Amino acid sequence: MKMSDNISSYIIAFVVLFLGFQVQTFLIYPVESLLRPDDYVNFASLVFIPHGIKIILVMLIGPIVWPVIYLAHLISGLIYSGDFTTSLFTSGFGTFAVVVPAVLLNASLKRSIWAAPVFYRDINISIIWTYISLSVMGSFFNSLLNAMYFGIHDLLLPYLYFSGDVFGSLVVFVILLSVVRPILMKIKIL
Amino acid sequence: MTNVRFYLGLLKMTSDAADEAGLSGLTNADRDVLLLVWEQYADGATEKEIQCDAILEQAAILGKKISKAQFYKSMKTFENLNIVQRVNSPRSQTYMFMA
Repeated sequence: MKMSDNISSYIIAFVVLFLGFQVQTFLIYPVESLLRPDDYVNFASLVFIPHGIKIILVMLIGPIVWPVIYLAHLISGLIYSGDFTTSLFTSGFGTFAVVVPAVLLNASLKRSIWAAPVFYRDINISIIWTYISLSVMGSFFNSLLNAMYFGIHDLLLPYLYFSGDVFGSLVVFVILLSVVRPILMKIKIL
Repeated sequence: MTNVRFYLGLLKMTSDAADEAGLSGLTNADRDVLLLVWEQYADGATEKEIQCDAILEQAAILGKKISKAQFYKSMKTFENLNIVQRVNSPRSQTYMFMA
């Protein structure tokens, strides 16, 4: 892959993920605030779509995309929460959670640890099951790390993070198949 | 989109996932409709107005049960798979057979 391809992939990845955070902030959060009576709504969404977008980026570009994920998460956190320390940590958790499962998958399949699962050449993987596996494993890491940061004694917190990430991934995948795929099939670039 | 690799990766990912989920390709009902639509082009015309009622009548003669909803769903699938293409306008009933 050429360097210019790398850079443009990273730019697209950043824009897509950043837009995902905008949708989360300006669409999903207000709806959740109206519907949820609990106090966790400010920091634990039940439909966290950036998690699904991160998984797609890791599958498409590989774990090497981690700086882009970290940066998009950090900038979004700084803009909307303004809390530097919290943004620094939660961005790190959110990045670690999606990158580590992909690195483990690559290692277990004897690929380069930075390889993009979508582009495995001599091995046929199930896209759906890979997406689900990375998403669930990532949600698990993310929920544990965030729960440790925000308060491990609150037993509900890890479940909220886990559910939010998994449901968010599900929503993103449905959008990918029902909206993005038809658009892609209409684009002729070759 | 200037990044071909990113585009192809996304296309591969969505296509493979749709295949696994059984969302791509043609169903048996789609194949029935396709056969009937194909017969409309038997005279060698490249563009034809495909009327739902005419196709349903033809299906009934052949003993096939196809609903209006199935017809429009199948035509949309053919469009998505680039088997047919609407001519003139997005809501036109005139199609060009591509495959």
